[in-house]
Amino acid sequence: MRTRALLLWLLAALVYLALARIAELDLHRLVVGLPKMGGWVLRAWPPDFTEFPLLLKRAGETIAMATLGSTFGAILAAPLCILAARNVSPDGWIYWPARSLLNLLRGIDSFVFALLFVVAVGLGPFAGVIGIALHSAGTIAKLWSETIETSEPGPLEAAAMTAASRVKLIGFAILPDALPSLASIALYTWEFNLRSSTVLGLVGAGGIGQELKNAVDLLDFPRVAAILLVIVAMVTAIDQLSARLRRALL
Amino acid sequence: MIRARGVAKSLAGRAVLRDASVSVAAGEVVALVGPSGSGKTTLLRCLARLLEPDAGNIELHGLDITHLAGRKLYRARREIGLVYQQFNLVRRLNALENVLGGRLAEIPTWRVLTRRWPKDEIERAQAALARVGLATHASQRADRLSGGQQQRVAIARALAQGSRVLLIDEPVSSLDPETAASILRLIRELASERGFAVLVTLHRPEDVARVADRALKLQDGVLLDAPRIERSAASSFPVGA
Repeated sequence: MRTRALLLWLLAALVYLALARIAELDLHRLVVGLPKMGGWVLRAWPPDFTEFPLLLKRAGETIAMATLGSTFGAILAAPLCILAARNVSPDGWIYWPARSLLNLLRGIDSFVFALLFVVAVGLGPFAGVIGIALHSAGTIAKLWSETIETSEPGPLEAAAMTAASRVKLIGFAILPDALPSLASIALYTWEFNLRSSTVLGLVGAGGIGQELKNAVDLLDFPRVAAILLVIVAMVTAIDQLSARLRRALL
Repeated sequence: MIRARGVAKSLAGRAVLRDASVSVAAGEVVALVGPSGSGKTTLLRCLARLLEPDAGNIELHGLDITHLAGRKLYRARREIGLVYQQFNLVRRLNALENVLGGRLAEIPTWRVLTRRWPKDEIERAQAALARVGLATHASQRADRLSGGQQQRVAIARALAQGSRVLLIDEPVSSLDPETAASILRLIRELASERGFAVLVTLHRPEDVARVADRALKLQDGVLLDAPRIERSAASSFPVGA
């Protein structure tokens, strides 16, 4: 038993060593580079808020991207989650294709979707909205379908005795009890999307991330500091709002 | 009326029902007794065609529903009001809306989804609630009602559904004696007043005596006549129940 445990530890150590090699971990480079970064931090103080209105505008773009993307994602997720929930899916044959579509949408990050859609719709927040919407549709639909699958079967069966249509059964017997959880999932995704959409600017999808990239490229550290402070304030405010809404729903 | 002939059903490789035959006429209350796990609930679910019997046939108002499928089966099921041991109410909806659940097939989809119920359906549901003694609890959320009240809402839902057959699964097993007596009295009254055919699973002999015209015992998957009930001796309900 002891030998087996030792072997397992050894195996784990080898795996991590291999991973570190692949990821090019290099402590020496970190030790040498950290003081340089410290110098940047010192040069970043005081933060440069001379273009504060522009930063607010860009933060607004980010909030708009995350909010619209999450909302469109939730709208797309509504029919998908029904098809992908075993207990309410109209037929067996639709369940697996629906599930596969969700995995595909979830598997591609909003960042990658945005990168692809910049080609189609050009630079700016619109590509970001599409990216967030598609990725969120997969995430929200998967979590919603799992919530629906774990809902109590009794009320659904009782309602089914009336011979009502599937849409009525779901609307009457599942949604009222599941709605707080479904809304909570959508709000959590919104919070998550707000954080992730701050980096969408890196692929030209607009928002505060675009300003951050420009400032870093120009080594304008006081401006970087101001942008980071705006991001932290924005994310904290939205997190608080979302947490309050979720508490109110439950 | 509802009738089962020679119904057999196996679950997970165990023969739960072997040769179960039962017939319940309009206005009659038949009690189904037997130890836990003897297959009482399985029989009710077979009668409602929620489980497919392996053998035998089921008739509802003279129509063989054993092999019905699709819309015809759904239409047949509407004739059966199933009242569950765990009530199966939608917890976050109020009592009135849960009763309206019995009318889903008649209410347009957009009204169900927006919960803007038609006036005539509200009146019907209110009448059903009043009949089970819960007129003043219409706006109370289901999960804030007591067990006995939830059982009454479940019965009101079956009334609103317009079923003439009631299959009631252990309606009093989790209730205090006084509440249990009031529920049994309600079941008895509904059968007598409205001519419902009622098949109810029960455990306590005194409950059987209170409510049933006759009793059947489920033993080894077969229904046997239970000892005769002396309703005159035991059928008095506690005062105030």
